[in-house]
Amino acid sequence: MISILVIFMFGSLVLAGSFESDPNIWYSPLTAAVIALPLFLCYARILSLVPGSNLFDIAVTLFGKFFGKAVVLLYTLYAIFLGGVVIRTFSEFIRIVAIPETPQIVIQSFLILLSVYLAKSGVENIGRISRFVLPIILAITIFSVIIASTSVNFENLLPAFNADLSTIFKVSVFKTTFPLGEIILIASMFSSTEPWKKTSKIFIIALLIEVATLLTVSMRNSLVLGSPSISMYYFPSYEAVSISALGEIFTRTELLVGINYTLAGTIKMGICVYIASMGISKISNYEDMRAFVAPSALIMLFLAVVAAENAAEFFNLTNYYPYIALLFQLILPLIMLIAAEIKVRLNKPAEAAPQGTNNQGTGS
Amino acid sequence: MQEFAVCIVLYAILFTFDVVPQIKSQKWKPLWFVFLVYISTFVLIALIIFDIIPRHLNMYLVEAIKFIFRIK
Repeated sequence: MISILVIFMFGSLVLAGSFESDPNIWYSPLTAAVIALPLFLCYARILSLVPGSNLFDIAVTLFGKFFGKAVVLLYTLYAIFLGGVVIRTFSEFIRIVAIPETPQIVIQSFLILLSVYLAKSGVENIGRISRFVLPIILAITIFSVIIASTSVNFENLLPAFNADLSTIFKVSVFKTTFPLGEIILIASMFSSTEPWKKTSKIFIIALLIEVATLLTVSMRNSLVLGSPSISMYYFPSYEAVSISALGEIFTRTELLVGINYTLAGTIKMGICVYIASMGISKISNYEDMRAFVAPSALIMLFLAVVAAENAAEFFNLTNYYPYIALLFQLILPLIMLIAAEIKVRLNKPAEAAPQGTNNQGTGS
Repeated sequence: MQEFAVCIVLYAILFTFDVVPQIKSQKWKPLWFVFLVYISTFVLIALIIFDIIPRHLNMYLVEAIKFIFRIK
């Protein structure tokens, strides 16, 4: 599960550093982690309060059939929206760095076919491929840092703390919602029968791996490009590695970074398609979710196509993403947590009462 | 036109490997939704490709967010 959580967050690594404007806020993953930690504990608590149920089942258990399915519908729409954003991000990435003349729908079609295949192969296979891919992604990230070490300028990290608090907060909230808080969607794939401490441990380990990688990538970009230059690029990580070379042997290593992003991005798309089809199957009371995999992917394709006219417009749109994510990553989980706590506390005396009656009966 | 051709190929592949097996195994219940999505998204994407409807529909979402959160 840790692999899926980390890979799902890595899917947005392609945009790492692209929202750090003039001030030097390379340490923003750390501040984002501070905001994300209570959220992660909240998600873990929700899963452990209703053991053996995933997020969709929990919503129906807590809010009843009608309102529960309304919550499921909201999360399904969120998964579809996020999938659309990820597909568009990757088609923009591939188009900008590799094939600028190719129509985007060609790239998007291949991504859609891959994600449909991945989602249809089931959660076990997504887990297996995540476990296989995660070490590769981490190794490539470390390798890219070693390569980039030849072009670093430590003065680029300074002045480190001259940004005002509101800017730091803004960037941190963005990093929290994109990608850290997105793992609320993963909660709809899994159920937990473990106590809260064990479930939260899984979330915290995933958070630590993600934050360490984000911080490494963010520092590498700042050290190589410098903070004013970072804001000039849509994909600063790719640019940072592309200008670095280790002698004459290791050159053009940015291709590895591209492979890295594409691997993580494809798995993320597959997971989004899987969750969206699970949501539709839950709403329609039809057990075989695989029937809805391709339709979910096609809606995502449509969203990716209509996202924006061009890359500049699309990346402007992503600036408003935290406002949308607020509902799904903070407000709804908080409501669910409160409802689950109340339900558990109300059920405890009810469960205790029949036992008490039985005991009395046995005693008499 | 190239984009439309690619779109037709994509839908043909998905239809062959997704819808046809469902029809063969007589799983009728989800098919109304599947057909609805296939047809509506295909028509909408075709309209976008031929520039009948604009490509920046999500900008309305941005306007809605700006209005709700009073962002200038």
